[in-house]
Amino acid sequence: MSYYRRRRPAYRKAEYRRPKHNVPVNISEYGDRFEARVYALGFSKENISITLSDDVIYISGRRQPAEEHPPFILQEYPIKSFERSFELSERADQNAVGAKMDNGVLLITIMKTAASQKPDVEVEIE
Amino acid sequence: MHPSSEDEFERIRIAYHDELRRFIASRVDSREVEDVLQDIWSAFARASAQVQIDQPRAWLYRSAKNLLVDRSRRLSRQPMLVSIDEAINVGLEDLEDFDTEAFWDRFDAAIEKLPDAQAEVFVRNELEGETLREIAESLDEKLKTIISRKQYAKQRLQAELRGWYDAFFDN
Repeated sequence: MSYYRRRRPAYRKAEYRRPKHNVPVNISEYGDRFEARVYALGFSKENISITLSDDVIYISGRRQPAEEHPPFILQEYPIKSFERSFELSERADQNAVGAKMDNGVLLITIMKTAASQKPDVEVEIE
Repeated sequence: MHPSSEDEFERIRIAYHDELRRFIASRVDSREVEDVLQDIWSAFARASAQVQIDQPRAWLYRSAKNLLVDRSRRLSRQPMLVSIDEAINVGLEDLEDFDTEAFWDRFDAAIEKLPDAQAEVFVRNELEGETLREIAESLDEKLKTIISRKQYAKQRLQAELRGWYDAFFDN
């Protein structure tokens, strides 16, 4: 029996489903690099993981909230988990990705490849 | 020089291939050198079948230059970091508008058409709140594989449910 068939009855109950909320990200471009700032307040660096899988950079966080089901009347921020995914172009040097956490903001630095920083090619014809 | 025959083409290829490769290798990532070379020789074969090329070396370098300039411009316009969250996520917070038996009957029928592996990733991530990383780890699969399954699942569900529930998928 498929996974879905085994679990199907539960999905019709709204309280069973988990709406997804995500953390915001700002991305800046500089001459030699890109910087992505992931605003993950409340998630410690031990609870955040960054994975490069082929051409995708995937960032996720998981924590145990103080209350499992807070009585929200509005929720815009994840309290339990988040995940963000970005596709890297060939201009990104996947061997030169760094990350650090400061005051709830995860800063990911991705260097551009040397080739992508080169100016247009001019060739003299003999 | 008119490389109209295969022999003539091969003679020119042997004469200039290595220096052309060095020229390209100094300007593009090593993984792309063969692709660029292939493009240039294909273009040369097409052109030489139609017109006489008196100076094949100059033609090849001019072609390489144009191709590298085009490539460089294309790369500089290409965003380096593109969010694919929209391609993956559905946004179940909008579900309240559709939370009816009729919707779930339709959803059941749509998800039953997915391959089991895709349906499982969709359900565990979208309905049960597991992250794609957690699913990848539990299934002992590459994260990229799980991301791809979720993307395919969303696309196929979107196609199945489009018409009724465009707003559900928010595009």
